[in-house]
Amino acid sequence: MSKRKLRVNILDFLILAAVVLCIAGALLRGGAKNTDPKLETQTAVITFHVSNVQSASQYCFKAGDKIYSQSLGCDMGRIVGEITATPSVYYYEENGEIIKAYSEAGRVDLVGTFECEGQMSESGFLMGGTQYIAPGMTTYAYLPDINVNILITDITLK
Amino acid sequence: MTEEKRSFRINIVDVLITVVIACVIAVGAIMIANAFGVDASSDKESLTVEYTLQFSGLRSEFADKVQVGDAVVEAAKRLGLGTVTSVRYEPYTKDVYNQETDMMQVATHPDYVTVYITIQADGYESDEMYYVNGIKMAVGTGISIHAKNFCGTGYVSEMLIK
Repeated sequence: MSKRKLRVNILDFLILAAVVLCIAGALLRGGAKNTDPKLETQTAVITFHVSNVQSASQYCFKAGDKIYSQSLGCDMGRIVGEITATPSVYYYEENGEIIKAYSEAGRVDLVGTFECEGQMSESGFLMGGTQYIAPGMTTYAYLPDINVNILITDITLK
Repeated sequence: MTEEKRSFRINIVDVLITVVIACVIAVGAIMIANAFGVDASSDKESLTVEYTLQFSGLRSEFADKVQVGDAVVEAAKRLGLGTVTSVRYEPYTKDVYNQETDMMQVATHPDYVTVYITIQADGYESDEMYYVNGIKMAVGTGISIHAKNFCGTGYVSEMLIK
């Protein structure tokens, strides 16, 4: 049998190059973190608010519990300190006015805090180098004992 | 055995695969360009766009979260939307039906506020429309913003072209 020369087909080469470029691009895009090396990693104390839950739900938030954000797809941090519960606030309309009232049926609003690491940048707090969060954001959070919507109301650097 | 002299032949399957991959790359490049706010349209005239975003019915604790000088980006694509030049807020009001008078009347919410954030940005005019970083600006446009200490969705309530 005669020795065959290795011949590179230009189209095959182009196809291979394109596939390699696609894979490299996808890897770069997928693995890219938003971390800015110039920014210092800091611990932030984040205050959150939970509206209108059953009174017993307050006991599902315990210091040290991990919070995972289902909507952001990442861990947010761990609960610190106590949870404050106050009767849920309602607003209703009557005779042309908006009236504020409080729950008589044991519904409560909760305020708590958790700590997380991240970087404070010009455009928000970059939690864990992957997700920007800021007061005003609502996220569906998983805790060990409860799944609940939380509203971030404040971010303070430690 | 003698090796036959092969002429350069193009395989139709290879051509098809190359075309498909080229299309995928082109679409990907366009998507990435859009994600980074690159607008390929020509015939652009640079200008300054000053617009006010109105955030209605916010809890009062959000009234002072945004400060003059804060940078603002679009929440999803992180495109720069300019710098805050003024912030003001007022009690949130809405039309409420009054059963006694059988008429609507303006009621003030006991807790909520309406926040107005004015932002100045470098923009451009293209095809008689105004854009900031590829985002079309006009009164009524809903925009989700992210600033250092606030995020939310507001509507453009005023716009001034300079």
